[in-house]
Order: sequence, then C-alpha cells, then structure tokens
Amino acid sequence: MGKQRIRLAVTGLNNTDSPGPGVPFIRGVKESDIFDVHIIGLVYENLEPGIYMEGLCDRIFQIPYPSSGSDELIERIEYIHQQEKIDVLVPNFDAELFSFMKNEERLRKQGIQTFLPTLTQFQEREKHRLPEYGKKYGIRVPASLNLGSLGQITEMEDKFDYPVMVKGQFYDAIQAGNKEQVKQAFMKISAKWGLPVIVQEFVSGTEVNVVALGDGKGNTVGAVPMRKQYITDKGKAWGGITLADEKMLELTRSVIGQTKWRGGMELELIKTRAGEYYLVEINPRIPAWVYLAVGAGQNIPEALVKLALGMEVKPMQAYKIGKMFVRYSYDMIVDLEKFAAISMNKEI
Amino acid sequence: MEKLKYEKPVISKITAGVPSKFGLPARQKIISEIDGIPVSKLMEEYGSPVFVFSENTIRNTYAEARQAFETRYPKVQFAWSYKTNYLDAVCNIFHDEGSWAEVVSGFEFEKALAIGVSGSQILFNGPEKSEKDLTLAINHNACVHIDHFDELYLLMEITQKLDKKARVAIRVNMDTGIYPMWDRFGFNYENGEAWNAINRIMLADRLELIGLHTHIGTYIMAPSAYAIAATKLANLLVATHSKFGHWLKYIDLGGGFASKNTLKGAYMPGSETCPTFDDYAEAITNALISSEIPHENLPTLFLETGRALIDDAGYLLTTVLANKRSSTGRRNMVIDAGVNLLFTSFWYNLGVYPSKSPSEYLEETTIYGPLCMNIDVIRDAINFPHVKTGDQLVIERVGAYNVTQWMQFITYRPNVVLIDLEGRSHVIKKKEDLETLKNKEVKPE
Amino acid sequence: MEIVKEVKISENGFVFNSKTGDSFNLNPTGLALIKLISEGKELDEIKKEFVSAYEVDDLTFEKDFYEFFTLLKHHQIMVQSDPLEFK
Repeated sequence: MGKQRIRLAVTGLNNTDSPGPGVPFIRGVKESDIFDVHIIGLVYENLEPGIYMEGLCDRIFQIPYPSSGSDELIERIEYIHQQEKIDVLVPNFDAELFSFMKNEERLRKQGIQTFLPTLTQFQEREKHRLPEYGKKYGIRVPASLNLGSLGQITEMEDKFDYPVMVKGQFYDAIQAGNKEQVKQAFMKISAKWGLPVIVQEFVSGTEVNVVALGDGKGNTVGAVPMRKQYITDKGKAWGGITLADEKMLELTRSVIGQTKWRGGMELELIKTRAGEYYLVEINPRIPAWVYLAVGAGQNIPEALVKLALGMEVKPMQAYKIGKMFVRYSYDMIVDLEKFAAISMNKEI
Repeated sequence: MEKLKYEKPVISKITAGVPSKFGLPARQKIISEIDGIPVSKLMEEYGSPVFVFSENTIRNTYAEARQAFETRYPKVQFAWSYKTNYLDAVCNIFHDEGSWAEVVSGFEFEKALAIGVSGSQILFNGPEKSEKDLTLAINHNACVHIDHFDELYLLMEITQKLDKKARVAIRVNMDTGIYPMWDRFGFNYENGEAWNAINRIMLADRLELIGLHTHIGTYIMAPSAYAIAATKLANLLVATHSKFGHWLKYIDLGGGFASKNTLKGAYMPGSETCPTFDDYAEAITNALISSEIPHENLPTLFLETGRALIDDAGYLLTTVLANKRSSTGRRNMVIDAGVNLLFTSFWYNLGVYPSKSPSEYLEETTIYGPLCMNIDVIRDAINFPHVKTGDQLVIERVGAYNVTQWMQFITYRPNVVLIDLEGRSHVIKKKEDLETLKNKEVKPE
Repeated sequence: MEIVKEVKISENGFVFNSKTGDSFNLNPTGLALIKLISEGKELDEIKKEFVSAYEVDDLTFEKDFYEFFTLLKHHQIMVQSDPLEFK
C-alpha cells in the first residue's frame, strides 16, 4: 500500500540557539511510514534557518505576526491555502496559538485541519493561574504570588523565604536573593511582559520535562520524559536523555486525563531530592526537543498529524530509555537569491 | 498617453531576522466617513482637529450591553459614569436610554442635577466628598457610596445636624485575582473591614444601608474576576440578612469593562481579546443567581460601565502637518492633535487611519502631536502609509476619558460634534477662544 | 554624488550594497527614480521626466525627491563626504 500524500503547513522554523519546534516536527513527520508529506514552511522572519535547509520544505511563505491582527494572519493562510491546499496546519509558537484557536472552525470549513488545545485549556494553564491549576487538578506546584506593584513586596516577604523566582507572564525567570533583587527583577520583567509579575517559591531540585500528546478525550497518546543534561544561558536544553520515570508519566496522564488536553504539550517539572515533583509550567505546544521522542520510538509529530486528520491513534507506551540528544550548530552556505526572494516576494 | 499613478518613492532596509512588514500585502483600513458624513465635510465645517461622536453607536452599544444583562437577570440598572464623558449631550443620551448618574465629585453631582437627573437616581462615589457635597447629596436623597470610616463618621455627624436620613452603600475592595488589586478605595472584604462597616452603619440611626458597591479595577479582561466580586458581595448581602433581617436593595459592580482599544504592551489587538458584554454578563449573573440569596430577594444589579459604552462612539479627526525624517532615517509625521487632547494615548496604542485611499506601502512611523514638547507622541511605532501634508486622518475609539481629561495647553480645545440618529451633525461643545480663557483671569489691582 | 559602485539594483526592486552587506527594498516609483539617479541625471531633468510620466506635481515630487535622496545617503547608497555639499 502506498503512503498517503498530505500537505502539511508548519511554523517555527527558527532553529537558532533558542529553537522553535518546526524543524524537528518536520523531521518527525518525514520519517512516517504512512505519510508522504509535502511541506509548506510558514515563516515570520527572513532568516529562519528552516528556509535555507535543503530538502526540508517544498514551499516557503512569509506570514504576518499575530500581533498585527488575527484576521491579517488568517487571510494570509487562506491565500496560501488557495495556492497550496493545506491539509494540516501545525502552529508552533505560544504567541500564535490564540489566533489559530480562535479561527479553528473557520480554517476547518475550508479543509485546513488543526489539533489545538481549547481556549479554556490554554488559559487555565497560564503561569499566573498555576496555584489554582494545581489545586483544581491535585498537582503540586510551587507556592506563588502575583505582584501587581512593588507595594506587595512586604506581603511576599511574609509568605516566602529568599531566594525566590521572579517570572514574567510569558517568558523570563530571574532568581532573586533579597528585596533589592526582587525590585530590580520586577522592573525588568514588568517592562517587558506586563503585569502581573509572578513570584514563585524557590524549589531546588533537578529540572525534568515531558513531551506529551493528548487526544482531547482524556487519553495520553504519547509521552516521553527527559532530563536536560546541559542548559544554555538562554535556558534551553543543549543535551538531554530519556528517563524511566513512572511517576512523571503518571503525572502527565493525570493532567491530560483530567483536563482532556487536546494537542501537544510540554510539562516542566522540578524533581526535589525527596523525590517530589513540582509542576512549574505547562507549555501548550510541542517543545523543540520533540525529535528525542521520535528517536526514542514515539513519533509524536506523526501522531499529532493523524489526530488532526481524524484518524485513530493507539496510545504509544514504549520508548527507549537512555536515548540522548545533543544539539549542534552548523553553518550553511546559502545564496543571496533565496534571501532576496523571501524578502521581496514573501514566498519561495 | 495616460499618466501612471504616482506613489512616493521609498527605499527601505531589509532587516535580517527582524521581520520587515514593509511590502507585505497588508490591508490598510480607511475611515472616510462617520455615520454617513464624509470626514472632509466634517472638518470643513468644524475645523481641525475635531472630536466627533456618533449617537447611533452610543445607543447601539448601550442596547447591546443592556440586552446582555437583562436577558440573564431580572433587575438591572445602568448608571452613567460621568467622569468618562460628562458632556451634557452625551449624558442626555444615556439618561434617555434609562441610565442613572454615577458621579465622583461635587462638580459632577451639580452637573447631573443641572441636566435634570433626579437626586434619588444619582450614585455618589469617590474618596473626595466634602461636608458641603454630602449635605447636597442628603438633601437630594442621593445614594452615597461610603469610601472610608472618616466619611462614615462625617455622614453620621451631618445627618444628625440636618436631622435627616441618608441613603448609603459601602464601597468594598477585595481580591478578585486582578492585578493590581485596587485596595485604595473602600473597605476591604478579606480582612473583615467591610463587614465591620456594615455593622456600624446598621446600628446608626440616620443611615439607611441600601446597597453594596465595588469597582475592582480598570480595563479588566477577565470576566471571571467579576464573578468573584459578585460572589463576595452576595456573601455580605446574605450575612447582613442573617444578622439584621434586612435585605439590601442592590449590588453595584462598578465599571472597568475593557474597550476594544489595545493597551500598550499588549501583544494582541484589543479588538480580539476584549471580552463581550455577554461574557461579562454571563459571569456576573451566574454568580448572583447561584449565590445563597433567595430568588425573590435578588438585589438589583447596578453597573457603572463607562469606557466600554462610549469609547467606540468617539473619533478625533486630525490633519497631517508635516512629514520628516529623523537623523537616523526614521519616518516621523506631525499631526495637529496632541496628547493634550488624547490623554488615553498614554496607555493605548490608538488606531490612526487615513480618510482616503493612501499609498500601498507602509513604513514604520512615529506620529507626533503639534505641541512644542518632547512627550507629545501619539504613536511611537505604527506601520503607516505615506500621506501628504494636509491629508486628513481619523483616530478611533477616543470616546472615553479624553474630553474629560483633556488639557488646555498653548491652544484652544476644539469643537466637539455629535451626529444624531438622522445623520445630522451638531456642535455639542464649542471650540474655546481667547474670551473663554480670559474670562476667569483677574489682574491684581 | 553618485551611487556607490558596490550597489547592485535588481529589476524586482531588490537592492544589495556589497560594501556594507545591507539589502533594501524599493517600491516601483523608487526603482524608477533610482535608475534615473544612477544614470547621473540631475533633479531638473528627473523632475521633468517624472511629472510628464506620473500623476504628480512639481512641488510634491521635489519634496519626495529630497527625502528619497536623504534616505539613499543615510543607507550609504550614495555618499556625502562634505556636509556642506548641496545637491
């Protein structure tokens, strides 16, 4: 039986030192035994490495940032759809999820399938709501306080001992050891990510992560736990290894089961020396290290595409333990023409 | 031979990595008319800049809000937030639609009375109420929303002096998960201060407690916060009944609904993330109906929504004064409306649009106002088409706060125009002139 | 002042300055204008050609021309070594 031809549009081709998941996602789907994929790369910037990688994408289109308005973004996708007929669209940035979730139905009507979390699932996991989330689903999370102004530092000091983690709503985390450092971190983070600024109790331990996929009915279709072996100064894993940790998998299944999570996700956990797990963050999409899961035997990208197409997917349970990934950087030699083409015509 | 369409010649650097939206096939929105009247005609008649309000939009927005609440809850009463926009013509529309008045100063109280609002339909909020103001309110049977204990005791003193009863409510502040939490106004719920105040009032001879008020913040994007607020006020209402056998008449959830404007620093445009009236209504009314208050004793729900009711109805029409390049080659544009007229430009990325079909190419631009002041920036970075000196632009969603917070600085404040339901335009506030300003000045003898 | 010889202008409006490594994007009128400038034509001559070919008046074009010129200098596509040189 021949492979099924599908046309897949993917964002997040920014394989830089703080990589997006697009390229590893495409690698995963290309290794599929059942799909023969035509890849439509969607890029925001003209230097996203995925544009220049030989044999990765069949077509490339530049799309406007979601901040310029969902309509503009979706209309651009519709324009691309007219030319390329997209079967499945996989957005890979947190910031674009809102626009795509809101327009899921509009895209579906035109034949573009996605497989995204619901707006409720997306919102209740937001960082400043983590304590409620932990309470609701019975998951241990670090105690935290949302700071709306520096006036609340006294309240914070009543609640926590130093050090604390000061975090932005979307990104950034700074460890602070005293009041002055909290103030500085507050100013820096609030200027960039707005309010509230989240102060979390510092939990010391090892950072471990799970990449997982929920089918939207409560089943965990795939899940692979990993420990970061080396973390770059941008907080990204440069190397990681799959773990045999039943507790992490249980926790993942419990989150997905209770929330009926739909789509890819990454759980960021801290494992304390006492063997307790604290949930620090839930990313509502597949992480950039997803190819480790593929290499360990769970082709999560392929499974996500199957779910988007409405195909049945049996939960994957086995994976190879002790598989490692090591990231590397590599200088491609490219011609100015490609850069000129994406800059001028907005498509290749 | 027919001539080619001219477009200003532009060269733009392609910034590697950073997205250059230059040349992306973006649609540029144009506002060429307001309620059927061409922008050019309005400016010809009323000058530039000029504020224009649409009665049609005001009434439609109000109807939308009312419907959202009235289809979900039996007793709903809006009170127009004067501080948001207290032009008589605007207030009149809201009162005509059935709104009461919500005022926060002696001046606003006098204004509402002068417009013809009955004192018993005025809610008197705010931290600043002098003895004179409170006496006025008591004599007109208004409802005083007490902000702090000093005000409570002052009221007891005045009512005794006047030998009159005052109808009162208390303002309650609380944690609804909103940051920053507005705890500077009213009595705190969590630490028991609000309950304390209720007890004190219930025991006072000449104070009649009829309602509870809260105002959790401004530009609240989370309807769930209102649900928390409604639940907490309902708890106080039930507690008051169990202790004193008295059902309070109303719960006032204040204002703070977001408008479709985009806050500075927000990633997505406000028009997409702003909850609808239905979202707010659903959260609030569900919380009240599912509270322990028996159905027959459900209080009237007061809403003091200001911004969300009026922002969309106001436009500022302005003219391009100059286009220039900064020393770094950046495009700058100067328009004839500055921050003196657009207080809200300090916290919103206001929408600025051409009034006629502009060039196809957009370029990142800084839009400056006309003031000889460095802070006079209307938009610090906006992708804007090329327009010429004298071209007319429209700034939308400026109906809230601007015509109350505007400043008279180095120039006269402009005409304010209302377009009525028949599409006729009227000046509702005349442009100032030298006389207006000199009027109150006195030279020492 | 002339267009720096390291600058290459493509027919689709893509400009590459190999001396600085910067690339640029021209709109169609910008492309037409830069071609005339690169032919060494003076403002008066260029203005005449533009006003007869496009729907534009003298003054508007002159303003736009100088603004464009400023940008070319800013982007080092043309070089002005003496700030008092007027062209």
